[in-house]
Amino acid sequence: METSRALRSTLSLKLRLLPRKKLSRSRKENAVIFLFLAICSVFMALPLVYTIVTAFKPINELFLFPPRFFVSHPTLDNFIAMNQLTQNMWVPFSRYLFNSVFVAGVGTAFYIVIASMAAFALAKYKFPGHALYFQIIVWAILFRPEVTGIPQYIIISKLGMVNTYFAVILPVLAGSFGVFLMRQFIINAIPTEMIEAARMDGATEYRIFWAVVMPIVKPAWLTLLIFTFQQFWNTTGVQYIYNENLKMLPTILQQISSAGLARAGAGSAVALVLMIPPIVIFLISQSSVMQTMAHSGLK
Amino acid sequence: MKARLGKWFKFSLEDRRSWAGYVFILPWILGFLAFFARPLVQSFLFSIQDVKMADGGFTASFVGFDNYNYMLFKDPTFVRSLYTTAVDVLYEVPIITMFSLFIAVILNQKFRGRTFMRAVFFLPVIIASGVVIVLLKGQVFSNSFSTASNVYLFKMTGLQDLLREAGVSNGIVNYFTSTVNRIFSLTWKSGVQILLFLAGLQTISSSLYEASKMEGASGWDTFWKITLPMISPMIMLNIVYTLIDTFTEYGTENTGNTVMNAIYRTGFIDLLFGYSAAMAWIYFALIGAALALVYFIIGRKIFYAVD
Repeated sequence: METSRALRSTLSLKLRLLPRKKLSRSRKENAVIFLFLAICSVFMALPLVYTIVTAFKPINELFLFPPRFFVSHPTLDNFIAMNQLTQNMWVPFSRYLFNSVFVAGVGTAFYIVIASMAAFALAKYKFPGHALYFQIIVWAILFRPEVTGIPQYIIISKLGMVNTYFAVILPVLAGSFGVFLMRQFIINAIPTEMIEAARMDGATEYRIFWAVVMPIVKPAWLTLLIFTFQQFWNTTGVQYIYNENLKMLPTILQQISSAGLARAGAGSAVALVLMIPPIVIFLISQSSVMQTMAHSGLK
Repeated sequence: MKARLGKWFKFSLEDRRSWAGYVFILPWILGFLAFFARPLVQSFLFSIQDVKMADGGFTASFVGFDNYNYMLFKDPTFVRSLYTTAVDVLYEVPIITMFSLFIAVILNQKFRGRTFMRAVFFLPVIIASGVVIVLLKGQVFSNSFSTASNVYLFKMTGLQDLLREAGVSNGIVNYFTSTVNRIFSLTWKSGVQILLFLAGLQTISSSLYEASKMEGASGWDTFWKITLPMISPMIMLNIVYTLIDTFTEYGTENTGNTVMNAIYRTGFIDLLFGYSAAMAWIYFALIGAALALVYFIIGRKIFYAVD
């Protein structure tokens, strides 16, 4: 018993060590790949750097022509100006913040559950018409809000949901991209045998979804989480909400930037603040994606 | 009576499962019908009507396909902008898809600073959506007071100044920037796709790789024989996403997609709802045709690990 276990552990150790040696690349190759990544990433990061730099520029440097990239005398003036501007507003900053966080939190949670359930059904159940539903979903991704915008407003106002959070949340829940995304993941990540096995063990369909499917496709719904949060976070809500108390955070940015160049500095300070939550969400979800893959049943 | 009830209420295992399927999909279907299907039908009705704003609402009168007629045969710009957009999409989609797959495969390797690199490649998505980008384009980067080339200015001034400050000569800077412009628009449009590919790569069971390594497969073999087939549903997803994303790119007045701008302007600024809806429907028929083509060409090559 003891020896067999020892044998097995050395064997599995070998299995783990062997391929890694074989696959390890030469240093030169690694350097080339890393250089390529580094060049691309410079392109990616530049505008962000520019925003950050601009947020710290004093007023005389903001108006330099031609504009300069770097700031020579960094200052916090823009943030102070932002603070003053938001304090003078009729609705307190915290109210906008609450609206944004509430809508983004509730909306994202609901959409992930709804889209994943629908995707699971489409990927693993053979109910009448399941192929047709899939086709509908793919075609529905085509239509951007421009097409349905005005009729959608009419429906929302008929339902009496103008000036409520529902007006912002519900239309997004009807989106089909998330369903398509989740379906494409579930179809290959979860072997049908695994679901069969869970059924044999007496799990209900509901339980299979929560305890088998969702943990395995965690990378997928964490990705969807990033997209959906991003979508809600950028919502101003102005189409459906006229009550200033219920508007979302980006309205502040619009208000400040509508004042034109004079507030370019304060504007980029607000932009910088607005960018932080999506980046944090991204970092958190990406790091837990790694953890899931290390522990999931499939690895 | 009992027997009949039994006939109605006792389902076979198969039936119960398909019911479970329906229950799972139901919430989404409800939302879809209310907030997507109905507005969509309504927008089609608009497109065959002359919709005018009136006190407390709007009036509509049936005009048949007049809107479509006008657009295709009389509107001087619409058909041309359709054509240019289609050409752009045709060459952008394959490049973006391949580029993002390449980057995703690299980012899926183990190296130091991997999470940071991933974040960097996803940044454009975070920055380039919503009001933040509008602000950046409209306010911060229009310092030169030229509005026509806002986006390129936005993308390039930073780098140009950086190079000039570093003492590189003007000619080299210009040559460099024109090359870089292309890479810029490419990398900036690939954020979502890279992330989707990455997530897809991570759901591939590592036992497949281990088995193939045991058999002595090279990295090259592994990519073509395991990674590519296993990720092929993601490739499909990404092509569809990229296609629609490039076709329906948002932009300000002078940037982005001319057709989308025309649809938006006609509907929300000129308030010609009917004509705007007709434009949208023709445009989406075009995108639909492109999608159908994609399905026809690569749809059959997709590998699904189910029966």
